[in-house]
Amino acid sequence: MSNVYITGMGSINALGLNCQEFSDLLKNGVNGIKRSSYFSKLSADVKVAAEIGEFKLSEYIKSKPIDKRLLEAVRPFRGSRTTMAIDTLIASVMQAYDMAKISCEDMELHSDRTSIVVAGSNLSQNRNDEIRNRYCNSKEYVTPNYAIQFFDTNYVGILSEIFKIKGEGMTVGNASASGNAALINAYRMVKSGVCDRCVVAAPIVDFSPYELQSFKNLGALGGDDYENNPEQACRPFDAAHNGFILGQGCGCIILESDRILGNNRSKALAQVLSGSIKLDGNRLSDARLDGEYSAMKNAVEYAGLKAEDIDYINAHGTSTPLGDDVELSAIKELFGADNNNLRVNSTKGMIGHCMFSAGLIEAIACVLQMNGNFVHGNANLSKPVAEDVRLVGNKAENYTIKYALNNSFGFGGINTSVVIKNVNI
Amino acid sequence: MSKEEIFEIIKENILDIIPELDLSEVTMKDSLKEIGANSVDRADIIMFTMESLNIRIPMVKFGNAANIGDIVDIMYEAKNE
Repeated sequence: MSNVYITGMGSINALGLNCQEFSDLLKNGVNGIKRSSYFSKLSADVKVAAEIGEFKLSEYIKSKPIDKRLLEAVRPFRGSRTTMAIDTLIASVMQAYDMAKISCEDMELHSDRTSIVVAGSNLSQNRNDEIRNRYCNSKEYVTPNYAIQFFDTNYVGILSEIFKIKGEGMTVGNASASGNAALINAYRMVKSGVCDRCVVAAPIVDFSPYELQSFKNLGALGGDDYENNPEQACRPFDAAHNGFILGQGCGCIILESDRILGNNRSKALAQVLSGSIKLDGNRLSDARLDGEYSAMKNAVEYAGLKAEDIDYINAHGTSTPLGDDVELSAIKELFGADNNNLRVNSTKGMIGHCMFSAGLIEAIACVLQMNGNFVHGNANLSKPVAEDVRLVGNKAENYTIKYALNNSFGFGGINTSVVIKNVNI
Repeated sequence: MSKEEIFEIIKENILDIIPELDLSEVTMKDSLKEIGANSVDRADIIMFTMESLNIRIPMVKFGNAANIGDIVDIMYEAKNE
C-alpha cells in the first residue's frame, strides 16, 4: 500500500487560466459569475453563469515555453477542428505536468506505470445535438470523426496519446460528484499499486439546450432575478439561495506514489488520505442527510482520523435551498454544532457549479488554500441559514488547514467525500 | 465546377484537419495518407468536401483512390452528372 501524493494541478475556470490566478482570485474574493454569453445562446433561460470566455489551445501554447515534442503531439488540436472542452483540458493537464516537474522523458519512462481517469459522463451532449442537425439535413454528412468523438473516453484517448499514458485508462461518472469519484478511483489505483502515477482530468461541460432546459424546468437552476447583478446570484448557505449557477471549469490533478517519488517528497503539494462514496438508495435529485453524513464519516475514518481532526470543509454548497440545508445539518451532526475549530466554505459561490469537474476543481481549491494559509470567503453570505456552523464570512480569512474534507454530491443519491492532508505542517 | 476548384476545396479541408501543413507542397499526385491524414481524417476530408459540393457518394467508392487526383476525378464526375 502506498501513500498517495498530489504533485501537480492545473485548472482553467472563471477565476483564472491557471492555479496561481485561481488562488489569488479566490483569496481576493473575486466573483466569476457574470451575465451569460455562452450558455444563454443554448438556452435563453440561463441568464447568469461563470464562464471562461474564448480559449484556443493554439493561442495558449504561444505564450508558454513548451517542449517541442508536446507541441507536435497537440498538433491535431492546433487548428479549427477542436473544441473548447478539449483545448482547456489539454492546457490544464499541461499545467499539472509542469507543476509536477514531469518532463517528456519522464512521461516516456513511466508510460506503463501511468494511468488516467477522466471525470464525468455525457461529455459531448451539445456536439451530439450538432450532429443531429447534420443527420436531419443529410445522413451522408454526418461527420465520420463523430464515431470516435462521441465516446466519453475520447478524452482518455486524446490525453493518453499526447502525454504517453499507457497504463490503465477509463472515465468515471458520478453525476455532479464525478470529480471526487474520479479522484477517489485514482487514489485507490495509486494506493494499491495498479500504477505509480495517475492523471485525473475533468473537462468543462458540453450541455445541449435539452439539459439546460430540463434543469430550468425542474426548478434546480437559479439566477433568474440577477441579470443586473450577476455576482450576487450564487449564494451558498444564504437565506436567499434559489438554485445552482452553472460554471465552466476544468481541472487536472496528478497523483504519485511513494515508489515514484522515492526519497524525494519535496514535489508533494498535499496528500490524499482517503475517499468514500455512499449511495442513498434514491434515484431522484433530493439531498439526504444520512448519505451525506455517512460519506463524510467514512472518509474521516478511512483516513485514520477523528471528526475533530478536520479543520476545514469545502462543501458541495450549490446554493440550492434543500441541498445547502441538508449539508449543514449533516456537518453539524458529524462535527458538532458551534465547532470553532472548523471552517466551511463553498467555492461554487465564485466559480459556479462546474458539474462533472466540480469535485476536482474544489479539491484543487482545498490544496491552494491549504498551501496559501487561507480559507476563501463565502460569496454573498449575508443571512446564513445556520448560525451554529462556522461558515467563513464574505471575505477570506488567514487560516491553517491541516486536514481538509472535500464534499461532492450528485443526483441519484450519490454522496462522496475526500480527505486531503497538508504536507507542509 | 472544374477539377482545380474541387482540388482547392479538398486542400481547405485538409488544412482544417491537419493544421499548419504547407499546402503549397500538396499536389494531386500525393495521397492523403502520405501527407499525414489518418483513416478518420481521410473520411472527414472527403465528407466535408462532398458537403461543399453538395454531392453524395458512398464512401466505399473512394476505396480504390490512390491519390488526391483520383478523389477529385470521382467527385468531378458526380458533380457534373
